[in-house]
Amino acid sequence: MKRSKRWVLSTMILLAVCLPAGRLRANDGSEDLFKQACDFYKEGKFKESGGIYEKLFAEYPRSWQVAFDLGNVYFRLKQKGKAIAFYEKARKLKPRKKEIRENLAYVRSLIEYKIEDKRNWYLAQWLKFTGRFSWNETLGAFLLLYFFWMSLSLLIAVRRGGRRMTALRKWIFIFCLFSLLPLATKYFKEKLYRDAVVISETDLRYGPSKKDKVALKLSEGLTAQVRKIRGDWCLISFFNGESGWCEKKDLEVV
Amino acid sequence: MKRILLISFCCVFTLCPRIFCANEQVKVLPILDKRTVELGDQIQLSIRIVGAQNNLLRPRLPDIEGFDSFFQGRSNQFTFTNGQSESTTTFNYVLVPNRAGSFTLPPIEVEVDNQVFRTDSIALRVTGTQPAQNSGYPPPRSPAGTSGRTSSAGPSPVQSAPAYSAGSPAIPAVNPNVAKASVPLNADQDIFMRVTADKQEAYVNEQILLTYSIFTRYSTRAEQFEKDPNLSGFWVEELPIEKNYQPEKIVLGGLQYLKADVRRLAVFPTTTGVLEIDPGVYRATVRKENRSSSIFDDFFDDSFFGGSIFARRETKLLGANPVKITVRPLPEQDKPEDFTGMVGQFQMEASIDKRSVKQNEPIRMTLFIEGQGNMEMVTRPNIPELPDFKVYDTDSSNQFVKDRQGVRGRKVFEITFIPTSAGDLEIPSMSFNYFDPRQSQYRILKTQPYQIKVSPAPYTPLPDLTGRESGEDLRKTLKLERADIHFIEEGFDPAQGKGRTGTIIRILFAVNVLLTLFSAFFLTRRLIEERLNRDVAFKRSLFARSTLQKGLRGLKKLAHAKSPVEQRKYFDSAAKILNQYFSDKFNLSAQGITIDEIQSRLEEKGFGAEKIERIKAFYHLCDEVRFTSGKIPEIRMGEFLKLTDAVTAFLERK
Repeated sequence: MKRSKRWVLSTMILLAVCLPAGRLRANDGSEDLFKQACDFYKEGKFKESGGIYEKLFAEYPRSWQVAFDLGNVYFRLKQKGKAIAFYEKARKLKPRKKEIRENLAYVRSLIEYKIEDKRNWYLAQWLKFTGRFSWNETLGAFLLLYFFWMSLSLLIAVRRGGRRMTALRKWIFIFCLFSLLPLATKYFKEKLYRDAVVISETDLRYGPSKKDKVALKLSEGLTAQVRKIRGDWCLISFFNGESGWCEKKDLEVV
Repeated sequence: MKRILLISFCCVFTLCPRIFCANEQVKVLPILDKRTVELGDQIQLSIRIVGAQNNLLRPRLPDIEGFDSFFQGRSNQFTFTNGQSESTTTFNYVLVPNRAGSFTLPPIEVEVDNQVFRTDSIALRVTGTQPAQNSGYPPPRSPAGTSGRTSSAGPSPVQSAPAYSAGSPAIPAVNPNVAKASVPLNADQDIFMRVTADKQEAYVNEQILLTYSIFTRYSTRAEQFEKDPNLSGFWVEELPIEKNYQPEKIVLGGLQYLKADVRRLAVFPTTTGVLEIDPGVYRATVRKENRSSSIFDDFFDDSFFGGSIFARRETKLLGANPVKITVRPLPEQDKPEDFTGMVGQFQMEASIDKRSVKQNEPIRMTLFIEGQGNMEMVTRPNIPELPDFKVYDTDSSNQFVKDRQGVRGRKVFEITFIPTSAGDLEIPSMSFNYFDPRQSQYRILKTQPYQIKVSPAPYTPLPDLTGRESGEDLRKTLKLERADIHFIEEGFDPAQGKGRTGTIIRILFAVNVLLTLFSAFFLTRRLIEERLNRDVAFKRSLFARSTLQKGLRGLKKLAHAKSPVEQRKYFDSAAKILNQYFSDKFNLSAQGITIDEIQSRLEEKGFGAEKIERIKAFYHLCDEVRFTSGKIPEIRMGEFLKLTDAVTAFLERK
């Protein structure tokens, strides 16, 4: 009885210390800055608004609101490439937000070129499915399932003193294994080979220097995957299978 | 049979060279607009392929040191001359210098019908200052291979009278280059050459027709130029002689001559002043026989350009007086600001394929410019900056006609406009200007402005809010008319922006790690327990020593006992501890174990006899103390510990 009381107390102290930490840090004037940026946007002062949003995004890189608003600002400034990049960033953080998805689709419909998707249909569908969940959600789901499975296992080990695999434990274990698959996909897509958007018209070359021949011209707004980075150059590939080297300054990594 | 073989042999030898030399007509010419360029400027490189019909692949430019190269498109040109067509394909590139210095444009390979042609290397220079002076007109290029020399003499009347052949009173001094020839310049009055220009005065870039005519009283065969004309200061276009051309009879000074044009040129002066054209020297051969009586009868029997190949012939070198042409500059008055230097008579037409499009849907404009003049120089009219359109030059094609009247033709430009925004947009008027030498005034041709209705790009419409599909429902379906982005998000949660979710996930991760460690611990413990429970003898043997150690720790407290009761208790406990150890090690009952059994087990394992005796003695001592009331011996804990150490060391090792 004494031991269990000690456990409950420790857990409560841990939660009390960790959870309010974020809330306590919030009151640092950033909300006023955000409001000011919104006001500038409403007045049509997009450059001023963009400057503040950029500053906020540097401080709050996980704020989907700031990323979304920055996308809007760049769209109004006729920088479609940057607008797409920031909508993508917002979508990564808030994947099911309707406004983000619709703005992204609209701006994409305005760019000059489209890339034919030559990936396998099931791969495309799978990526579309996993794209509806953020990295944190996927990781959280896995960790939660793992937590349940482990807790149950521990409970059985302590109370009953056996290693019996109950039906509930089996199911949780299966879900846990399945949740590893989207987690691995997200890891490859968002951590290992990140997306990048072309933000200004540039050349795709056969090698990482200006001496290398131009393979094709890239227009603003095209989305590619970054495969390798060498100095100021990135090796990127498109869904249609084309790949080549492009200067880093012409890309916005999502 | 021999005759057939001979004829076949002759045929093969006659035809084979034609087959093998099928590509001899193909010419590959690299054309640069300049060879010295300033940093930041660019060089236009054109690779012109003349005579190739098909299978033309875009030449791949090699790496050019000091330059970045960009492909700009290709253009095709078909020239129809006297029913014969000639195809010219030009690949255009831009060379942009990236550093100053002297560089070499390496040979460029062009593949035509699986045969590779190579151009020569060309030296290029990149300066860090001003580029080389450019006259504003293309450099003189002559198919006849003229060399550069411009007369700076004062005005003089252009040759209007016929030029006389060498030896005639008007003939100028013999050119030293020609004098070196094995055959002296002609001094025969029965054959001479005249060069005539259709005008004595012209404006810069105005077309002038030069005609080379031979007057002869012999049966004459025209050969070729012994010395090419010097046409420096002119852009030259060769005009063909008609295939069915017939010489004409003409009377000069009471003598009848046969006159034939041997060469026609359209020349365009590129600089002002009095320009002198050195006509060059032409070689012809005449029949040796004196045919004074029947010459006119034979004119039509014996071709002017032909004649019997078996006749004995004499070579004649024909010269002519230089032709002087006064070239006037174009007037500055009323000169359009964007004047490109075109002189002649031109017309322009334009058309577009659609006037109502969706956003990002291309509109194709076709622009025709046709007329008489230096058509090669015609460029697309400038298009003003259009913020709502992206403009691309899709294609261009030329059709030039060269005949007795000079050079004329048509250039077609295809321009693609892609509207980037929706609404009512306008493609503005484009202008093409030129100077009309007949009227001595500038003329401006303009296209009409086109009004384009651009509807927004296709976008996913809003869902049908009525929710009914029945035909009876006459209400209109709500449809999205214009698309735009959603408004900004005005709510901001700084805690979320800093990654509160991330903190929760980190905590969850840490908890999971702890859980995993706990589980691993419990699982291992459970496994060990199960293993031990399955083998009791192993379990007892495993824990025998620790039980002994535990007992010895309790015994140490009794080692210093003073009271007899406690001293007896010491011996009782010592015997029990030892009993317990042996029973655990041998998996026997602690209560039922005897000294003999211990002895036999120890002997089995090879324990020393002396030590066994000591164990037995200790047991006897303990039994004496426990079961008799005699004197209690001195407690020797050290000895007992030595004994147990010896036993445990032996049995644990075993």
